[in-house]
Amino acid sequence: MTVVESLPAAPARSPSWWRSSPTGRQLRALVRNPTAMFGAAIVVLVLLCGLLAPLIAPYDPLAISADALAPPSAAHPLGTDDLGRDILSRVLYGARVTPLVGIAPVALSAAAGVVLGLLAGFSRGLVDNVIMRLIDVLLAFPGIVLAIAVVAVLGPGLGNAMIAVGIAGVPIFARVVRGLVLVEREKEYVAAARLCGARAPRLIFAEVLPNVAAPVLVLSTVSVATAILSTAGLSFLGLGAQPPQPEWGAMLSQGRDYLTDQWWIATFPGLAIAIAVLGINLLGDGLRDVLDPRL
Amino acid sequence: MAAYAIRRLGLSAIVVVGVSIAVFMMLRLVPGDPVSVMLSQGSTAQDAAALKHELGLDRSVFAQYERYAGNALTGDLGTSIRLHEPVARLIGQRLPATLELTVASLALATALGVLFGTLSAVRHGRLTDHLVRVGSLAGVSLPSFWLGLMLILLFGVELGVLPIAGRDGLASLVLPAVTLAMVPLGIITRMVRSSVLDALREDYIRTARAKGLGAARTLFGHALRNSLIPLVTVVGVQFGTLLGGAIIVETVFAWPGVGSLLIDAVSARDFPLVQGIILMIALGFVLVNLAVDLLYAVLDPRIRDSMETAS
Repeated sequence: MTVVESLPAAPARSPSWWRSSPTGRQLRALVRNPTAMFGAAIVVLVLLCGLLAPLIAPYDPLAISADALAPPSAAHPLGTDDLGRDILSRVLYGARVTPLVGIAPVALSAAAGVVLGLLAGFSRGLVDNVIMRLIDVLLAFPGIVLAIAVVAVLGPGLGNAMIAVGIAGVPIFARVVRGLVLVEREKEYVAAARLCGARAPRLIFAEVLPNVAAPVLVLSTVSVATAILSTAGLSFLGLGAQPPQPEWGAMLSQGRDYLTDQWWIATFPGLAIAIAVLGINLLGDGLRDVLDPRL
Repeated sequence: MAAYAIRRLGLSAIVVVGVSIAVFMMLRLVPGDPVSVMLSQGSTAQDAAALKHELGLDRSVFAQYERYAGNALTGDLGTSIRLHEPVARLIGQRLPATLELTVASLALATALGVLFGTLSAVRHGRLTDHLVRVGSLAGVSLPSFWLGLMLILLFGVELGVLPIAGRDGLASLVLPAVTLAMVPLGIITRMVRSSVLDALREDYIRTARAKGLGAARTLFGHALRNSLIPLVTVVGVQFGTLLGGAIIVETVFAWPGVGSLLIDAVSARDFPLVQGIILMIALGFVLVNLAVDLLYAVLDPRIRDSMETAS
């Protein structure tokens, strides 16, 4: 008999778990929150559009045709752009980029910010002071200005724009996590672990980190919306995605020149951004209510 | 209070030095040779050497920073490579337009945010409350560059009642200011709503009502007054957000401010101009945050005491 076989089986997640455990209760509260579920539905819809784009898009998003600047019609439900490309197909393909531009920068912000926040909050003294002064310097730049500065250094492009937005988000995560760690480190479970001989890395990553995970998750959700808006903003300014990539911000920027007569070119990509961001914000609001009303 | 103010000033001075180092390092962090990045095609080796000397890149990093910081302290931010004009003068020409736009947006967002937030709290759980909550969430979700274009389409192109670009009188300020105000309006509305809701549940409000004070006087004389203290911080933070947001809105409306100047400079890789504008925005943000923190401590002695105890 192996060691694994000799261990008692984990209790099955029964309906009582759904009712009695804290996580079950939180999930139940989230599912019962209509605005959060509406937001989740929008997010799922955007993800599905991106996932199924090759199957459901009526045209190749990069295919140039003679039917340029055509208004919405049965053949092109959202019209065509100046090169005759189908806007609907480009919007659907743009939904493939959106999860990436939302999640990748936030993953960068969260990874760096959480580590810095944990180190600062746990070590105090010189390390805390040095980290927090660095964070203060980064916070002196409004988010989009910091992102533009990073793009100015690295050069334009979608990848660099995502790195820029990710760096701009680091100080917020670091600040929030440090504040949470300062509270957690004084709690009894940390003292108990320390008495049991746990060293700093174990205390930080195995004890404190799981207890600050919920607020970090909430902040991440809200930050995804900000990241999508910021990256699209950089693309709109010509510093992010470059033509002919079907990215919503870049599409909007291309449509700006045709606004007066061909309104559809700029309208639909922007509407797509607004809907996606609204969905994430609604879901984030619901998550915050359930997981961490302090934020 | 004096001890707190001195400590806060000291921290701001450290941040200012850090900001100047960060901005100075921008040019040095450019992958490859920054001079070849900035020069146009067809430039000679002599052009490159001259630019390198002009930017001080032929000296040690410490000497370069000493020169950069010394010049910045006297208001010399270098010369624009593209426009061949002093950076400080270019910023000075464009700054009034940016300040006009951000101040107008902040005033609009604060006035409407306090109104909608209070209305929502007083009508808690009713239709007005739901409408305000959905509206404020929509406000922070709409991309400003799209909202700006849609406002141009509606009020400029379709109705023809407002100018769609440029800075020419009060009418031209309306669309950019409304566009820029939308995000802070959503944030301020939500903050005021939750703050007034909290205040309305406090014992002193119940006492005031029990003593026979009218609903309006309780709201305006007590609840709203106390719940507006945190507004100072939010408005201060939003000023920074607006300075950032102005960059995009100025581009949409061809508003001749520092934001559109910055984007042109980034596109042209005109680093002295990019560095100067970013330094100016960051220093402005540091100053506003300092003022907000000091004002906050004056308004609420509890904050001051807790900060002094913590330090």
